[in-house]
Amino acid sequence: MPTSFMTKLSTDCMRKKRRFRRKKKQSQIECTAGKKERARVPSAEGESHISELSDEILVSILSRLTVREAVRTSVLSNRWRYVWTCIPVLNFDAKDKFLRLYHTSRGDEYNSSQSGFVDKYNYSNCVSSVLAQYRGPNVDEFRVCCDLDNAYSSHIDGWIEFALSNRVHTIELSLSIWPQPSCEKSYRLRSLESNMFVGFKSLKTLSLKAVNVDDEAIEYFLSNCPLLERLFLHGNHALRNLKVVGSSLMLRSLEVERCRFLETVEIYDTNLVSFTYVGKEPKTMILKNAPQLVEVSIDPCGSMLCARAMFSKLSCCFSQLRILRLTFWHFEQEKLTNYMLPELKNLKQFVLVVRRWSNESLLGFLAMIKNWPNLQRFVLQLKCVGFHIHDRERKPTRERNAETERKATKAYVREAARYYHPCLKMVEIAGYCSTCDFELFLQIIENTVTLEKIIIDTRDPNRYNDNDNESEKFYRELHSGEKRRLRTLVSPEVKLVIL
Amino acid sequence: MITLTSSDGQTFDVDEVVAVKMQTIKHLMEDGCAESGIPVPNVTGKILAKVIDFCKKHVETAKAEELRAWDADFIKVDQVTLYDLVMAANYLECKRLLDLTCQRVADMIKGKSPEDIREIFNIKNDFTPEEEEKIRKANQWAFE
Repeated sequence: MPTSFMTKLSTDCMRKKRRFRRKKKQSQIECTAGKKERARVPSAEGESHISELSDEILVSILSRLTVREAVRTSVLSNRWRYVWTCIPVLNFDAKDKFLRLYHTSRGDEYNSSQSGFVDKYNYSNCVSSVLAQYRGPNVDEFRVCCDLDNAYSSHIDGWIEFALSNRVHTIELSLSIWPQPSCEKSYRLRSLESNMFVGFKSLKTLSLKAVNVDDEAIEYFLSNCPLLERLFLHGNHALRNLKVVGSSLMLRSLEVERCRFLETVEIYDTNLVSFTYVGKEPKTMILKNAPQLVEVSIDPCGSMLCARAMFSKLSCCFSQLRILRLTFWHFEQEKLTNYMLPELKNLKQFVLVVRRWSNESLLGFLAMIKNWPNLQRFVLQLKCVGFHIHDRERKPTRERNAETERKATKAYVREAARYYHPCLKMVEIAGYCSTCDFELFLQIIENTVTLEKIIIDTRDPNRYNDNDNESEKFYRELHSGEKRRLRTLVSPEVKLVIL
Repeated sequence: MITLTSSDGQTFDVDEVVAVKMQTIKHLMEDGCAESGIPVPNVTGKILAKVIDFCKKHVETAKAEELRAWDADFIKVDQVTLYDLVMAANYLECKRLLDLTCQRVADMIKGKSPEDIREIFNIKNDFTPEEEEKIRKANQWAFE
């Protein structure tokens, strides 16, 4: 006859529970941490071994499954009925098909060619239902990823309240699958209730996409979350001014992406380590006194010149910068001087993401690294966007004739050949296209004596991005003849990897 | 050198640097209780040997790929041994081993229907049909 165990629920839990079910036969769930001595729960005759594991261990096992799979274990046996309700990670990623709700014939306004329709109504009901059944003492991570707008406000409000009152340390609300969420109907984070305040003390990561949060609320988060380390704001159209100021802030990583109406960004006197900005340059960008800032990523959604202009605003961190990532559109053969970036003494890694038209050669980029004597790793990602007009700034490259292009290329070869790098160890070219990038490859291997490894990746760098499949046709694997040719050109000490 | 004694009386001599991979042992060592050997009453000799093997390998090998391959082999054991390893890792507080073993069990559950899971793990369904129906209805979306 199994003995019964006392349930230990914190008083917080008691307050939150609306229905408190008592288990009929066996022990009640013990969701508090580690009772090592009682690893074995006395089992009925013939019970399997797995059910003898303690609740804590079973919860740990179920937390490695998707929410759906965890919920399914509720039907296994009485022992398992409520174990899932304590899993500390609640990841409701609709992309991962946690729901597997597909309605191919519904007239939904959202249509993703890859994953079919997702029934948003059912999704939000499911999330709310799971949260209502939750019994654990606290949630570590709460993630929602589904295209939802302000029609679902009441649900989303409830989720945020749940997360914060459960002392979650990571909140991720990703309410749009598109890179540029629209602003009119986006969910707006309104007032924060007093019972959520307890959650602020434990919040470490806050990631909001397609959620409109105004300046005051962001300010509030920054001042009242003493442990906040990562803040990601994506598609926040209510944000006008962002101020990250103060050495008491624990903020290490700040990411601001496509906040269209952002006017000022001020970062000073902080311990920020990594800063990412994607979008048109704001009217005012100030960076001062950020001695720990070593990683910067900029994507001005524009040309090389835009990237340089934005980057120059961050001059106070140039001497300490270790990792730099620049993304821009490349329109035509630009003057070599345009590529010159400021001196970055400590830069170890440089990632250059270039959106280019399929037939352009990009030798000039090698000149960029001349001013970086300590650079060890150079990653070049070449994203072909073909002949689609995505941006008004695009200049018509198709109109230039082939002769001019060849002449320009020769000039480049000569100029770029003058570059010689003392330290570069690893180069990776992703989105390599053998017709246009071969010269680039040659230049690199001929001018870098310290090179240890070079990776040629012929796969489409955009392949993980559902929305951009047009570029696929520009990429193909290298023929074995081409591969052999590349290998013969590379000296034996250098490791060549072809993907 | 630390001596660990299993529940069935087997003794194992373990290097300190390996023993500290088990937090429980580490704490006992720090508290100065380790001179005359440490008893491990919840773990049999067979399982303790495996745990020690695991810790040793993780101390000796630095290469992540090699370690991953070795772990994959290490975890290919029968269910009973697997659960014993889980419990030993939990008791001895060896986080990496606990992660590995729990993940293995999770992988065995992944993608299976409740009926399959019951069969694999020999779980007796002690619900009445009405109860089971009620549970399925409560979270219908998960069972579709």
